[in-house]
Amino acid sequence: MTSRIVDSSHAQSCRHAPCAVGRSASSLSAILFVTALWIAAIALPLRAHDGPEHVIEALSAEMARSGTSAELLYRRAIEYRALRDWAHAEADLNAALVLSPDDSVSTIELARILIRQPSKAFHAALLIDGLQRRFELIEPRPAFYADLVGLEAELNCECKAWEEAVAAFSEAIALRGDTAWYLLRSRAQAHLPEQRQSQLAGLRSGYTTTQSPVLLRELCDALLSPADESSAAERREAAEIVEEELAANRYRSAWLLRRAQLHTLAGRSADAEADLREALAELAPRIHPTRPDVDLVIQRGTARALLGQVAEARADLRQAEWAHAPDWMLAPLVEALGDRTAPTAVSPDD
Amino acid sequence: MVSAPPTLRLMSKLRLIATLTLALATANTLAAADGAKLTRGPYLQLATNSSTTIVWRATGATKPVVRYGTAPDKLDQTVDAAAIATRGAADLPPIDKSTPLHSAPNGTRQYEAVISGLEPNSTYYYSVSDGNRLLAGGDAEHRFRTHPQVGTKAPFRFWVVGDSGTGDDTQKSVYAGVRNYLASDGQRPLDLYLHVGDMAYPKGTDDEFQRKFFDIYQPTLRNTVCWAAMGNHEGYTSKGTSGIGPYYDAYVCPKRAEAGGLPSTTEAFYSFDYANVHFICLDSHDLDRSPAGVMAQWLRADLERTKADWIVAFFHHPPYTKGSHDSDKEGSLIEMREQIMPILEAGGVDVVLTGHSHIYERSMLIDGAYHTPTVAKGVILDDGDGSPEGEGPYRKSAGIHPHEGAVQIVTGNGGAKLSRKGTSPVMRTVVVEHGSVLIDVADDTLTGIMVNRLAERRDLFQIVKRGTVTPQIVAAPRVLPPFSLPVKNTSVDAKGEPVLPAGAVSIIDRHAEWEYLAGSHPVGEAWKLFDFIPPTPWPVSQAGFGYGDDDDATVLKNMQSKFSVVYIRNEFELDIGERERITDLGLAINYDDGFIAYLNGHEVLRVGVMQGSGAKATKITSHNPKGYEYHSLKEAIKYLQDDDNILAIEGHNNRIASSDFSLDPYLVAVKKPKP
Repeated sequence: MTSRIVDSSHAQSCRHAPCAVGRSASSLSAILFVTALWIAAIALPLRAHDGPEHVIEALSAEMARSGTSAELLYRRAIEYRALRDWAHAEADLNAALVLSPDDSVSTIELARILIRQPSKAFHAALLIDGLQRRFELIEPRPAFYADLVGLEAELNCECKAWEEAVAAFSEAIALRGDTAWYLLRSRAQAHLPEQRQSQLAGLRSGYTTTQSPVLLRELCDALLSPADESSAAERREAAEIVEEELAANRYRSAWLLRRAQLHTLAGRSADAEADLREALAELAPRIHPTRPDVDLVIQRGTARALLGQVAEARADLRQAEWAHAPDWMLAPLVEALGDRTAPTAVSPDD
Repeated sequence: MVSAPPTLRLMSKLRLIATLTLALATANTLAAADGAKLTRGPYLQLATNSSTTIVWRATGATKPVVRYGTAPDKLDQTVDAAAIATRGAADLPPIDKSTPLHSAPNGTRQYEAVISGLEPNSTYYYSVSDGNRLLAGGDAEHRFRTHPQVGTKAPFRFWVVGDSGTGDDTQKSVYAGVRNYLASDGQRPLDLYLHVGDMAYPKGTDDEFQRKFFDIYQPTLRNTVCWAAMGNHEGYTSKGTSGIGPYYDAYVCPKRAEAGGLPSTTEAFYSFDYANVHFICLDSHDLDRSPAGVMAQWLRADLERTKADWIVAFFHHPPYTKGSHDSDKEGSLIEMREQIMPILEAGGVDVVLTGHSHIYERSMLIDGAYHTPTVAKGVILDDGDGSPEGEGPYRKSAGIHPHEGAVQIVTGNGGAKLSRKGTSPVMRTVVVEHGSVLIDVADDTLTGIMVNRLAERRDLFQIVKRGTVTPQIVAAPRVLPPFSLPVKNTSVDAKGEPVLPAGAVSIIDRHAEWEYLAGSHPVGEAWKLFDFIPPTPWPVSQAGFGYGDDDDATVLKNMQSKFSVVYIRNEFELDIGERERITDLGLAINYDDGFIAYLNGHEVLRVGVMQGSGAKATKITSHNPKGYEYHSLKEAIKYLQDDDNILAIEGHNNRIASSDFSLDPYLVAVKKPKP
């Protein structure tokens, strides 16, 4: 098994020749060490009633009294994380790993924090890669091995190494079929036009396996994207999903937007406009005036853009961007606004 | 006859209640003399209107059998063996393709039997056996009632507990309190039990689950399903990403919408329906809480689908609290407020139940309170008490509608030590008392109460959903007064002298000389530390400091209308070995209006200063001194050091133009005799 983490700054895979000799023995030692560390951590006192700042204070006092240890540093890092003090959390985890370089729990936690910072992706890659190599030949693998592979895939997404990300997500899914990994693999595949059919097949398989409504939406959107590549059969498949969901749901705006897209593709402008207006009417009371759910704002913006209400749609886009909506969430709205330069399928509003 | 003091009577009553609870917990649980031994349960899990799941653990068992029927003495049905899943401890050979138990004791087998084909809203009785040998059940206590048909308006009652898992008498007395209340109110028994997390302190291990959850609640667990949300303490050993750990071994939660809602594909978050209520459980601890995360996407889809009359959400980390946790400061709490609440309220949520913060807090009817820090302005739809016995219930339109208001309940008072940092501006009721919550739903009316350890009702609110209601923001809502930190162990006698602990001696004498700074603020925090060297030396003078009341040794003539804060420092030494001999420590202080005390840089006491410190202190409450008051600093003994120590105090006037000010402290300790 070869790791597929890509360093964004060097744009090359972090592949190392596997060190077969003695790997099993060293990995077993690592597991035993991690287990011992975990048990030791469990044995430490922990009060039930303290907020993170109190626990940090108590742990700092404990370290001042009895010296630092990897366990105490890890626990303090977790409390810093609760306070979103990423810098201190990172510092404590680094310090913990200086004291206990084989501590996989601290390593995974540090990697999760580093992934948040693009400038530290290479460091995160090294941590994940090193840990994977310690455990990849062990059978059965520890439960967190799937998380390691998932982290590797997420890091590759951060580095825009889509092929490597798809491969890693597929491996993670084989280990444990998390909905998130099906979803993220689909989004990585969306960057690889040649993988469109593979993307659809993966989503169909994921939905069949999990019945997740999240994957069903993703499948429907993938069937219609890019619009000029979707076949008649794919549009029929999407239409069946849309009609079933419209019949079953109390709130229908998200599905009305998808049906409007299908109407537009079929040249039924009036039907599309009716769906868009119904979606807007339903969205109005659901959108909080000062701090709405960003998904609803994007839905409204998309409907507005498709109805030709460009200024309002751009305001929705700004609001969604201000709320740090990721690109995949923004995509329908950006795409709808992009269409404003081309002839519209729907009559513009006044 | 001399009666016991009230406190002792209370303790004695609580112990009695706890003992009775424990006795009930062990009744009807049989262990065979040979062979199989029941080690957990049996207890109910994942239930629907046509099925239920019975879980139990045993050692040495080989042939699990579940019998059930419509009367305790008529268990004429047997669950098919294929419907009983078996999982084993790690030391046992793998059983089929089942996931091994995470950390169960060696030799343990866990059985999960699904009884299906049942009638809705019907009571059944059951037993579990090893072959023909009865392990438990076959009596009136081992029973279950299937859910009513989804959408029916059958009245029902559910119990909500949080942060209970201490295993001590407090937890047991909270449980006894609600059982006694249920026994006395003559209405209906429990239909559901929700736990909002932290059910097995401190690490959520398998053993802690056994001792601090199953052993205690077994009388309820054998006939009522507990639907659980994971707390941060369970998170030390169980992981939401993998669904592995003692928490996930203990519960069987819906992953595929078995009980309503939409499939979540994980036991970490899920939904289910009961009568006309849609329940949503979220993992606020260790999964992505962002609006783009899978949990949020599932939540949107689930909310879009439900057509229930009510929506109740529950999870561990409260969006609004000033109990033992502060929702304006901690990441999980902030994210649940800023990122998840907009989704829930757009979906029409009615009640949000949480724990984590060890206190009982109940909000007004609120909507859109997503900002940090939380403010009352613009988010209160009804600032009344919501009580049908007081200002009237909260009103919403019939059915589910977005942004018509929700009631937030923090019930982290199920057993862990209580504390309070302040008052969240959206709260209507704050009770620093152990207890739990009972909620009744009857058609268009939801009624909630908090029950304390003595089975007393400590809060009451109601939501009525009828007709059409147009929500209106209350322009100037009434809010609770600012919270003044409780002054612990304060006592002053009739002559204005503090009542000190027996044997107390001065460490810093009354009217000792202190360094002080008046008329400006020190730069940074270093002034609280022993090594502090001020840019210009602070003057030294005798305590007390102040003006306007003729009791000050050092009169600050220029203070009135010029400045409101005075800083003082006093160094003291402890001989080697003296620190270890100190068993109690306290501050005797004559003050007007508030102060913050620091021992070797640590804040150890804050009285009357509600927010901030130094130049940024705000909300100073007024205090009229009656002489020296004694404040225990026992918790601060840990901050004492051998040799050099520093006590630093900042005294605050609540108004700069106040007619007087006093700051006159001295420090005392009780010491063990020298060996």
